[in-house]
Amino acid sequence: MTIREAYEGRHLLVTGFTGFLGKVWVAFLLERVPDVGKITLLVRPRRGETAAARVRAIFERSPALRPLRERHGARLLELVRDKIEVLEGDARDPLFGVEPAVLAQLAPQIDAVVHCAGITDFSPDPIQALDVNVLGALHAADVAARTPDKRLIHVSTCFVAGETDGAVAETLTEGVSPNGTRFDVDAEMLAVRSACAAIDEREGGGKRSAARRGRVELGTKRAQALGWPNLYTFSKGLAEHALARREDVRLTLIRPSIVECARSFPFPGWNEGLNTSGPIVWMCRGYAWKVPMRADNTFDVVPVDTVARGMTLAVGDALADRAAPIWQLASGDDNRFTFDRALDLTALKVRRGYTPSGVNALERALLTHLDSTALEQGADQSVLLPAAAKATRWLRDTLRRFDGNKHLPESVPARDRERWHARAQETSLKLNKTSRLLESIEALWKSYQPFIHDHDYRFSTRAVRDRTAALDASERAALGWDLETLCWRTYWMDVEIPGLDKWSLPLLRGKDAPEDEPVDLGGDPPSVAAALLPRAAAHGSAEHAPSDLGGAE
Amino acid sequence: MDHTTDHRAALFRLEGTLSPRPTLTAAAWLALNARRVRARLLGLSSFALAGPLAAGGAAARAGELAWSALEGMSEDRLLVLGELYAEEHLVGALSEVGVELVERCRAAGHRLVLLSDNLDVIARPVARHLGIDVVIANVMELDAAGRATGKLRAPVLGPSLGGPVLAARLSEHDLELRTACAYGSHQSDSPLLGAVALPCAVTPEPALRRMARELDWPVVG
Repeated sequence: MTIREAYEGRHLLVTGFTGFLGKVWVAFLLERVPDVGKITLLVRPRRGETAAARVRAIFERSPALRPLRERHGARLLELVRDKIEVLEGDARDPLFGVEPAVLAQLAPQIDAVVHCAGITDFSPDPIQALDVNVLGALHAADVAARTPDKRLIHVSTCFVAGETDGAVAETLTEGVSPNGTRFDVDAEMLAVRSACAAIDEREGGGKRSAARRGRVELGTKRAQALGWPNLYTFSKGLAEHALARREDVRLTLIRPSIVECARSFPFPGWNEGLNTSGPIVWMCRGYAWKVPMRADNTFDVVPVDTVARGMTLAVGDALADRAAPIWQLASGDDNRFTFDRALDLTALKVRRGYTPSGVNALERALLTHLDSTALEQGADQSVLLPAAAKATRWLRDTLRRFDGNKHLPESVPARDRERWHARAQETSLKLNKTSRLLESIEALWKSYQPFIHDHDYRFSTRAVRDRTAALDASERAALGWDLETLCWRTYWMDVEIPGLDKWSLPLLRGKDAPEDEPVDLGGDPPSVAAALLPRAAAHGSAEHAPSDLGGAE
Repeated sequence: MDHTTDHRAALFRLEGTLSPRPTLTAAAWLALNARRVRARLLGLSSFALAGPLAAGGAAARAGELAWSALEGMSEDRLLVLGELYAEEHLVGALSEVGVELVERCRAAGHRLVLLSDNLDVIARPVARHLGIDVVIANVMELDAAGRATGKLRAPVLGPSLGGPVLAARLSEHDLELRTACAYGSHQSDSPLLGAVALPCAVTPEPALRRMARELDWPVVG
């Protein structure tokens, strides 16, 4: 059975469609595997928008869906009505918060649950991380367990490997953390929840920023005690271990590494949100001369459409009941890219005229001739940034205290004193901004440190490579893992950096990423709840929309 | 079959015939654009020594010293900077006479060949710009990590081209040195011009002009 045959007429329930990878994968599937039967998208309503309206907006204007819009034109609604249906719900709720009656009718039709939803922030609130990444995965398993074939495909991350080095096999030893500690998922979750509740009580409420800081600190410490560097990898790791215990589902784990700009689908360079490389490129384009990275460590980047290819194979094999249990979708073992090369190529891109806008000629000349190099020390050892931040703060405070009337001699005319006073305050405000920027850069480097400095991973990708080798030529070209043909120089300079510049870096400047000119779909996609239940009884009206999860999905 | 076209090779020297910039300038520019400041300073000192050597007639030794300044440079950097150098310093300043001769040879059906003792990463963008499909130039040797060793891959093409090394390189492209036409400007091009069927001196320096007159070679410019 070919991959396309495995999908033929099959019905998938997919979570996380509104996220970067979810969108690209669903669009890729509709484009390359058009005989897939139906895709039910579990989406939660947000900010007064129903789930169906969110899905409609994505089909109408998200660049990820551009190839479909171009191919189907005015007949896009036909495709959407034929292939897509929306299920309003929330991964954090038991059974996704779907009415039991709706689920009872839907579940028997589902061939596989593909769970892409998750928080991808490195330092999320631990309670949210557990709710979305761990409980969400368990809720997906509960739903999968109600389907006839009990297939669950869970999208995790390669970085559940935690604080290890070298080759990372496509395996999981249930109940053993990356540093070899035996642990119990339920006990871990209970411990983190209890400790967070105690912090909230001590700080006078969970919404206070001190309470949030305390929770993140506590959760991170617990993660590190088990060998996970941060709350993201901790929660994704716990989810894998929790799912591995489930005997009522047939589990396939997909572990992408660092998912970055599209190589060709939907089009070269497309990206969404602030991924790992964005801030690194942004800083190297500026004055980040020395970067706290280990030059020869692997920078395990994979284009999002290459990940979509790997996912398509893994889900296809799961549908054909022959999937390997774990699929790592990474670049380090096959076509390795290093931090040193990324820095060199970024500097060369700057040399080719990629400098920030709004800089003067002198700055431009300086930026194009100061190439970023690896510092080799970790961010926690760096003295330069903390010293610069400290000096900036000192200068800011000194200028803030400056009083023209008090500190200037009486011989200076009153008008000049006022002028100097105003200028000092203005500069102090600018320095305040700079010192905050330096602090956030320092925090960012520290949060990246485990991945860019401390550990050098080589994730095995045997499952996806072996499967690709077994494909016929036509499927290999359309769906096969294509990383070995990636030229990093071309990708990084002509695809990744311009892609980040257009789609991600505006977010760092507080602007929105561009969207496509909307194409009127002519109607909402079909909704499962609307089809099966009277509207008033359907779950998840806009009034009950959960709070924004930031990086969720 | 078209009997009016002439498929023989037309050999153009980049240095002199097409561009006034000497090879050592490119090597110096690359070294001054090394990634680290220390490497840039080392490159600068190499050129402080290479310059007098070249002026004293030890061109091969000067070339070795100049290229050695690129030791440690990544293949990415060589390729990107090579292209940048070609775009910024060569393509915009190509000799009008030389370009016209290229066009004439193309119209005559010759197979165009760009000859250079510069690096291929610099010569290729120029060839692309001129629509020349065969490039015979030096190649920087790379180590297993893809970094320049600072040595050129053997056989090294020196300022004087011609003889069996060039003939062998041309034969890789099914071209013959003996029947080719060639265009050169410097005295160091005389072995090349002497080895082909149709030599031509293009805006030659005085010594080559005298030689062309003596040997009855055509002179353009």
